[in-house]
Amino acid sequence: MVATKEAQQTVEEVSGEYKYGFVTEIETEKAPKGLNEDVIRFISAKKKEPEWLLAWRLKAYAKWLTMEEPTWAMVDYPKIDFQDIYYYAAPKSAEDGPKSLEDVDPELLRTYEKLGISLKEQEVLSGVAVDIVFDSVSVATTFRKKLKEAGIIFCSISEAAHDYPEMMKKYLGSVVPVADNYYSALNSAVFTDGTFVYIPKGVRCPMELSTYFRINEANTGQFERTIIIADEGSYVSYLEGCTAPQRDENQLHAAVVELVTHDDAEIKYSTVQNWYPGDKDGKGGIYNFVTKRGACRGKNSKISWTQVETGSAITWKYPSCLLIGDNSVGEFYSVAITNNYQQADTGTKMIHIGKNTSSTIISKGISAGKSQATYRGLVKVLPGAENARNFTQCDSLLIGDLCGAHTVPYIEIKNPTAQVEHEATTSKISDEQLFYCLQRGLEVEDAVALIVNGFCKDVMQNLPMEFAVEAQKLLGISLEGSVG
Amino acid sequence: MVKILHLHNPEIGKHFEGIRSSLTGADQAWLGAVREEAMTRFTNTGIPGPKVEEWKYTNLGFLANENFAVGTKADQTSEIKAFYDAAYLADIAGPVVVFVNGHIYPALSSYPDEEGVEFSVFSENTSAFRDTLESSDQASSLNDLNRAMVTDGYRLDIAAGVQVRQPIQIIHIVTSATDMKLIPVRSQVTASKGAKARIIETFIGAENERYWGHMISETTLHDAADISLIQFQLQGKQAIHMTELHTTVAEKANFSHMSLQLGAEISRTELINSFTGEYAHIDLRGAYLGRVKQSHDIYTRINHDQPNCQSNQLYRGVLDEGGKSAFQGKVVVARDAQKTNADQSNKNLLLSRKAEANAKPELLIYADDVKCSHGATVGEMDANQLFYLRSRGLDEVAAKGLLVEAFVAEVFDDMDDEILRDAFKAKAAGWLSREERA
Repeated sequence: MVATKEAQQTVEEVSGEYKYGFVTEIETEKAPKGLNEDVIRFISAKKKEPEWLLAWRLKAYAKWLTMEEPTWAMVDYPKIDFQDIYYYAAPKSAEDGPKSLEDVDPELLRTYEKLGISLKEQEVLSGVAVDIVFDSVSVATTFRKKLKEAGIIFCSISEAAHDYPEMMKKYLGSVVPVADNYYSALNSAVFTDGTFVYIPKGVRCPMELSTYFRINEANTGQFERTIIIADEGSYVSYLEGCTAPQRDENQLHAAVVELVTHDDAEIKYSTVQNWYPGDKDGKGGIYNFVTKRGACRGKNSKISWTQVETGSAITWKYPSCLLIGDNSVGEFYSVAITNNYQQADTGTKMIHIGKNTSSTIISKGISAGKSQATYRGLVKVLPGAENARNFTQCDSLLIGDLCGAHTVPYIEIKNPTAQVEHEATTSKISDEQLFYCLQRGLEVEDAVALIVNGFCKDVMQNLPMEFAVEAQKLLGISLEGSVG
Repeated sequence: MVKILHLHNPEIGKHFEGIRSSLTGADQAWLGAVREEAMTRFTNTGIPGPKVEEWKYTNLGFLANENFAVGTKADQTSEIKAFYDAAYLADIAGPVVVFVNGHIYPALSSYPDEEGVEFSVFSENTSAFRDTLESSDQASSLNDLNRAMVTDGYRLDIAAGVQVRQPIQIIHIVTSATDMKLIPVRSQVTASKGAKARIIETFIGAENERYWGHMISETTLHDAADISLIQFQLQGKQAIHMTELHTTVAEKANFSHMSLQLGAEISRTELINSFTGEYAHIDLRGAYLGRVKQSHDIYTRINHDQPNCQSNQLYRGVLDEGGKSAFQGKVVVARDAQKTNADQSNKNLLLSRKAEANAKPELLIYADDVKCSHGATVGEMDANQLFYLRSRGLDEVAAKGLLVEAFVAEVFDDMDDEILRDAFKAKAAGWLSREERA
């Protein structure tokens, strides 16, 4: 018992400080505070958007005005004043549009260096193409040329609106309808940037695509929109990482991600979310209200979500799969770590529509401090989904006696050929495990780190190599202290 | 967009006004006040609609448009005797209390008569129910409806240390009649320190009659008490059956509830349990079998407010042609409830394309030193098992029957009372053999 108390203390001590809490001083251009039709017109004009997109935004805004903030999630926060947020902030230097890394503001590059994602380094060494979103504008897109040779489109969503309007019209809002929920409607009205990816037929994307999100300007919401389309027989692995500087106020982040796979295509979407979680007393931190959904439209297609959620004061996020095509596969692997006053309500939805569809859900929640972690998931098998298979495993680990871990699964089955299994457990780090490690000569924090890593193994091993290292580092920061 | 959470049926209020002077205990001012107040609350709140999370899987929308009349006393008929014979477990000698259409039926009843056992009936002694009727904390709107209209019920008090020798059988019968009846009954069971009893409750009614059986039970277990409540739900196939059980369990006490849901078009069983002392145990288990328009909804909640308690839940569902089920189980472990041990298992077997099973096993945990788990599965019959039995010479119907029986048997296999176990088996088998005919 003493040992766990110590471990808990270590955990609290370590995770109190946010390693990425620095502010980049760059002049930014903001839209006036608040939200109204004029702000939306301002954003649209800034982005030099076509008329149809502005109309689409305004329609979404009108819809949003009629909607109510959802309250069903197990998160508790003061009401958000949507008129107290800047909906557009762009680094001034972006006005001219940097063409290459050399053109990018060196201050920016230093920021990323601190995060450990030096573009240069990555360009040269790791072979990862990075589309960086700095606040709202995509400032540098690397490896574009190389991807273009393979016929792959990898650009910011504003560019896509100019260059590929037909595809944008076809796919924007096709997986997450505008009125899907409160935050998706808000995002549809004010989204400022994001990434657009198209993988043509039969192409296996030669590298892992990655976007590094960062919220920098105080009081700005970040509303990106990501669309990834994998055409017949193609494959892409997409990485998304997020960090935000330390601020006393809460910041809002409401993104929408839409994935589409056609016949035999596969998208692997990995997220490491490390937004600022607020300080020890629960002050500040990001409100993360994200709608992520993938549609397996084609036969034998596959969408796999892997997420490591360590940050944000509040997380409200349910990456889902619509398994429409026959034999399609959906996967959800998640590690959610909450500490101090963090609250996470996260999970997935697997909707089985086509025949022989299968889904796997592995969710690992770790709560420490005074945090609350909830898994909320839905597995739905519609009458036409013959031979659907689902396996769900949700495990929660509690560190300390002031935190909470909750599991709220929904299982709705309308076809007898379905095989659906759900298992969940909640426990603390067992005294036996800890004792075993200690008597082998490990320090308490090492032992906790080892056990937690083992607890998350099923999920961590699904991360791409490029991310596994960073995720493990983050686990270390959140839980293990200097040891990790 | 304002969501409509509750539905309203003004006819119920009108009916109440019409019959209030003839309701049980109409001459007593306190009861009149309780009824009045409860009716006002119900009228204001209304019937829970499908947007109310707890009622997600049972749509009561139709209740807003149906007219109800509270059940009235029935004359002695052969129909009643036939229901009685079907429900009464003759092998278990002992007291039996019969209610017909929500009114005590003395002709077939023999009250418990044992030292330390106090038994009273609402219509004969309304004041015995005054305390519970007057306390209305956390009452649901349907609980209020029941409170306003209640016609009859029973109260059982077991003195400290008394172990009731024979199980007490309670039989609720609804006879055939032409109008839509509402049968609101209540029960109240208190087991003092170390008391022990077993209650077997059977609900049975006319096959082709639309009626709404509604029962509220309040059970209190004091230290080291042991109460076992067994419920057979054999209502007619057009019936609406709802039970709401509130139970508190004190130190080292043991509460077990076992139910078998076979009848009714719509059934809803709500089990709300709280621990009020340490080292106590709650065991909830049941089987629900549904087909043709039938819908069974089991809603359980266990509040682990005390440390060192244990709860187990085991539910098995079999859904055939048109059958639908929902199991919503919620375990809440409070901050100080360390060393809690809670597990929950729900398995569903779908036998037909038009069957549907829903499960929502919820764990809300605020203490760290706990062992909590739940498991839920939905699937069809194992083809290998079926093949094995067929290869041994069983025909398909027999093989399926055997597998379904084995699937359900898990619920009552380790029951200590052989007679009861056989009764469970026989009743479940009766349902299964009806399937063979279909």
